[in-house]
Amino acid sequence: MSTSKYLLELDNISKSYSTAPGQAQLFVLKDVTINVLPGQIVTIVGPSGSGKSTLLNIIGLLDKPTSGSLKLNGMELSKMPEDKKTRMRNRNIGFIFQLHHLLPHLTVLENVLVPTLATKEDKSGHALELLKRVGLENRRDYFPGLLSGGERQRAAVVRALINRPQLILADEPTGALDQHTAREIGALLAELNLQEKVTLITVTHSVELAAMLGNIYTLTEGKLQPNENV
Amino acid sequence: MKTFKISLSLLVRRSILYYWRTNINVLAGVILCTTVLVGALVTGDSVRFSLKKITLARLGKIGYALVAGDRFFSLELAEKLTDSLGVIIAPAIQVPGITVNQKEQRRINQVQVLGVDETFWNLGGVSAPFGDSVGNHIAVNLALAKRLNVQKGDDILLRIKNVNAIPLDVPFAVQEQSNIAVPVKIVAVLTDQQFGRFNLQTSQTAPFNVFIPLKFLSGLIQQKNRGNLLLAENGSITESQLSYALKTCFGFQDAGLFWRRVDESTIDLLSDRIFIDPPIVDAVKRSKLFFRPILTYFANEMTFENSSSPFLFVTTGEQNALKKLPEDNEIIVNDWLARDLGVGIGSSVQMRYWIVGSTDKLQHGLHRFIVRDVVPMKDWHIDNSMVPPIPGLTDANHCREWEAGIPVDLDKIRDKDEKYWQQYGTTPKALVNPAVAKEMWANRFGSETAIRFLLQNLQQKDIEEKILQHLPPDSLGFVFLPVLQEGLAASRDSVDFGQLFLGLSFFIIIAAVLLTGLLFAFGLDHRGSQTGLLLAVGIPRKNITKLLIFEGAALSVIGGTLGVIFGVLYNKIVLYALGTVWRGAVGTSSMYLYIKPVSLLIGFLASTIVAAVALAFVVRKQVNAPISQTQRGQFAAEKTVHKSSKILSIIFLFAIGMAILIILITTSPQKGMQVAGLFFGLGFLYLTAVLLMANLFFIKSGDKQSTRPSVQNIGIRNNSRHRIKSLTTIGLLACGIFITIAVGANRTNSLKNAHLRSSGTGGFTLFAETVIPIPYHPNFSNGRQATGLADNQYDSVSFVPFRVREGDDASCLNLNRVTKPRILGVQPKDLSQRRVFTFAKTVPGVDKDNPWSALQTDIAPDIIPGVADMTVITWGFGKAVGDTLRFIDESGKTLNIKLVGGLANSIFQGNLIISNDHFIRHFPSISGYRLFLVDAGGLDDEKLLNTLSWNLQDYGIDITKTIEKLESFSIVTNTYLNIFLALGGLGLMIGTLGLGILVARNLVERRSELALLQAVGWSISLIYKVIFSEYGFILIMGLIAGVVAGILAVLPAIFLPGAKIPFGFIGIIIVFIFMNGLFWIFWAVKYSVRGELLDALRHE
Repeated sequence: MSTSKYLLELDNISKSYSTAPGQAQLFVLKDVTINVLPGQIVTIVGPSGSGKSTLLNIIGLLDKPTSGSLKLNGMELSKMPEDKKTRMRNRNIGFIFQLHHLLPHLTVLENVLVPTLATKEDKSGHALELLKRVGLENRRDYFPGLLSGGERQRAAVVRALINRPQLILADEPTGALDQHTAREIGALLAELNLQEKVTLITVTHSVELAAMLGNIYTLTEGKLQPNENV
Repeated sequence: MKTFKISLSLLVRRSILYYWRTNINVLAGVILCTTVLVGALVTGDSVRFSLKKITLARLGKIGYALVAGDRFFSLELAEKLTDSLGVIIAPAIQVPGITVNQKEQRRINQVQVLGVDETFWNLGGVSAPFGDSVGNHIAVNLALAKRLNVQKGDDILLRIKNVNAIPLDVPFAVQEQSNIAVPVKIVAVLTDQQFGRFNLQTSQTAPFNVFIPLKFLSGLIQQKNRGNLLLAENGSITESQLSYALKTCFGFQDAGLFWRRVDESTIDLLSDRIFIDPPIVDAVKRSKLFFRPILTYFANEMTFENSSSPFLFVTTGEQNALKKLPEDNEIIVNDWLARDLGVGIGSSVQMRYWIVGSTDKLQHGLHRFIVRDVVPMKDWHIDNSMVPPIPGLTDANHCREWEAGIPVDLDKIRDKDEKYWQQYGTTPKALVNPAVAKEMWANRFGSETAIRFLLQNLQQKDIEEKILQHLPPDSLGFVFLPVLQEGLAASRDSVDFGQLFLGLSFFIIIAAVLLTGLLFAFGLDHRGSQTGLLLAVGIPRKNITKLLIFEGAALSVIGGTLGVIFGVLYNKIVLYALGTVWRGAVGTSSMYLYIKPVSLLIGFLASTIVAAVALAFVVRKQVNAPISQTQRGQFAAEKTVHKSSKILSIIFLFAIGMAILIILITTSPQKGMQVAGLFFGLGFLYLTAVLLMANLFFIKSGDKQSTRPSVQNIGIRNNSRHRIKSLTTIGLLACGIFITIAVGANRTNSLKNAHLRSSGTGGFTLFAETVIPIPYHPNFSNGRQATGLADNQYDSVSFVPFRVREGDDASCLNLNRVTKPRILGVQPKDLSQRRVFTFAKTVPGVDKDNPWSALQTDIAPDIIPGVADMTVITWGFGKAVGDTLRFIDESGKTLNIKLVGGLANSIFQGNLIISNDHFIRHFPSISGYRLFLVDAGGLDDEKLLNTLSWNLQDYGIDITKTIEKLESFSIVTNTYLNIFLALGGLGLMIGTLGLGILVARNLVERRSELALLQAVGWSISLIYKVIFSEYGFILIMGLIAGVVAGILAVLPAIFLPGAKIPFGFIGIIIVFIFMNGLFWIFWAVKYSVRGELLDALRHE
């Protein structure tokens, strides 16, 4: 049983790639260290290529760090076997991507329930409740092709919440939306953070979204630092 | 609200419906694969079913048949057997014949003339077509009626072989009038349903049958109340029951034996074949009866100094009844002969006589004797009872009426000879030692002309019974064969058209599977981010794999099910083609659709499993990609190459290179067929090597860093990104071309080098077969007379004659599995001296320089060597060189013929060749020659053909040029090749379609890249040019790889006699593929650059 008060602990996480045989390693992340409390919001900003998505992929167990330690609920994850990581991702982490990635052949409700495929639990009630909360109760039987951009992203948000994760990772959640819809989604994320007490780590270019969510960190040349200007 | 759980099946269902466009393509691939598989299997079933149906049509209710050939049994035998067994036993006469439609001057040889009665029709389950008529009313079957262009009511001329009980090769057998011509009226034309197809030979081709009342035919050939064929109903009887019943019912007259009473206490056992068959003599010996063998011969003359006495019978007398046997070189003469020659005791006389030599040439025998005794006529106890009945000789009233089967110069006959004939008849004039007599006159038909018994305590009947106890009918060739069982087995084990079509469709199946995989892979690539999403939200890889495999499997099952339906339709088309345009492959139009559920299931399962496995391979590859890549839909890039796989590729490449080098250095393609398989493998190895090299090239190109990238470089890099797909496309193209060339090159052209001795014609000009045997060797005087080539102008013409023992046609024209092929007997030296034909394979120990000599060897008492065409050995017999075929010879003994050699593509297809010596030893009663290879010796082929056709028309000659004969066999092979090329061509289309899809897919992905090029000032035509050069690389690589591999594979075929590489055809194929490939590239480019290209850049 964990005694750590942090939900997420990143300690000196580094990530490098080899570009070509014989060439020097390219460091994307350099000794990133951050601790996140349960229910906390963390917003990461930074220029393109600064490693924001890589960092989010490492936190989301989609990628492996080259070095460093990653803990969730005090449990070391970086060396965890793949199947356990998968289970961890399914139970504890929710993802929201820049593009909604809804399966076009499934209805909204079915899309929302996709993460439950792994658990085989009946979460249709919870799904409907969440859809109602985001204003999509009338769209539950719609296919994604019939939804607006904002509706699609709201459905994606509900999908991220369906398994009641402790951590939501949002990678440019408003990147593909117009300003008005982006604002709506930003508000929704903040609201869910409050209501569901879920930890939210967001990576964004959007100054407006960052300002809306707060607790901003900047990732520059692989280094993560708190943004004290905000 | 109703609870709702998402499930894999829902996802599969939805996905299949949503991505219907992609899935239809995948389905099409699976359907094609299943259609071809099911079609092939159902074709196999249908051909087998058709052959079975034909077997039942040709045999009706007949289960067993006894073919006695030249031996005639009493019709009572059939009655006795019927009474004994309680099943229908039909007696019949079967003789070869010729039919002539004189109105239209049409002549059909090789006609089966059948003298039958009511019981025969009972076996066919039909009523007799000629009612009660016993006259010259005949029925013909439909095949003959069509070929002869006759119908009911027409008159034709029927010429039949005069089946004399005395074999033609028996000394003194009359050779004249070897056939009988009779005008007949057709009263019925019989269909298959009316038993018109009756045939004991296993063949799918309808025979030419003439049915004639048994009584009429038996009268015509002077075999009243006799028959030479017994047909037994396939009731509840077994072969052993039949055999037992035959033994108990078999009588003396069935063995051709008869008695002649000499006096009150003496009877002679005689044979209607002049010489008494050795098995009968053996039976007499085993019966432990007291008997005296007699051998009497007709000598040409006896000479003493300047005097000569012509034409006299000489006998051994009652061998063990004589008090004083002449010693080895002694002779006892009657005083008539002594006076005629002027000899006395101690005189040295010389006897000349004719014997039949090994080539059936009459040879003079000569023996010198010392006169031991001169016996006065009153004490000469030798009388004409010593002489067996010899038609034409012993029944003549005057010497000048003699018609013997040997040359008799009637001018030599003097008045005193005629007086002797009138006074003493055939009474022999001299007596010789039995051992010497045997040495001089014994032949394959026997060494006794009579066996004398004394009626002391026994009656004639008792003697008969005792002898029959020791005379099994099978020792005289009277054996019931299970023709129905053998026929059904032959149809069951027939050429497997299922396998054949599977083989012929191999490439199309591979192409369909690869294309299915390729399309599915593209479909999954397109949906790559979905896999990434599922992975990201924590769905285990195995569940995602399951999901995608289920989807692939569902598509496979749907495609498989539809494919089964299409397969049956496809089979109908194939059967139609086999009955029409591809008829050369089956030789009959009697093909019926037959569907076995198990074949549908096998076809369905095989194709769905293969397709599902191919799809699973694609799924596995995608699901195992890193999540961070998949989530962005980045699996299209196949950049991850393990170092180990590179090293492995290099090792493989090295090994293949070495193998190719070793084969090329150590193996000469001039060895032809013997190394064909090796070179085919060589081509395949080369193809693999090219694909490995391309793989390494793509890996290297993908890794390569460039400071100044060109568009071509970008293109190759792009091909490298889709390495597996690029390789698949190259492989598809190359395999298609490789197979097409390899198959195309095996087309044989019989005209090329056909004049060579080593070719399939043996360098002979003509190939002739007769219905009625020619009794003499056509290279010698009698034969020259018989063939009408006695004139000096034909001196240069020579023949190689063959004896023929009828059997099933084992050529590729017969689809059934043949176990009893036609056997040909030849003097091996006739072939070895000419060094004719090429042996594709021989057993170890055969003299390579003189392989024909292997036929003369004795392997074991019951094993003799044989040679057949390699195609026949493989396909007709289903055997290999070194294997053995089992026969029953004329004495009822097992005869094993070991295949000591296989000939390369020759005119001997369908036959098994053994030496003449072995032939006459095992089939002594088959006399004369029926097959001839003719050397024209510089004479005009056409003129010689016409001369022989005219001269030998009464023998029912069929004569063709050897090259035409060889060409007729090529039709089957070439038809198979046509089928393969038709299906292979379709496969190639699929291959080039694959290229089109690859190009279209890549270009769609690269739309923005192309847009950028346009944005920086490239014209559309320049972009076209660059893309064409880029994908032309794959096309050309596939072409070169396929062509070179194909040429390597066919190197031995180039050196085969008669082989002709169809360079024109190969050229057309290559041009076609190249143009087709260019078309698909053009289509793909057009498709991908459609609309406003620069929009792609804006959307970027």
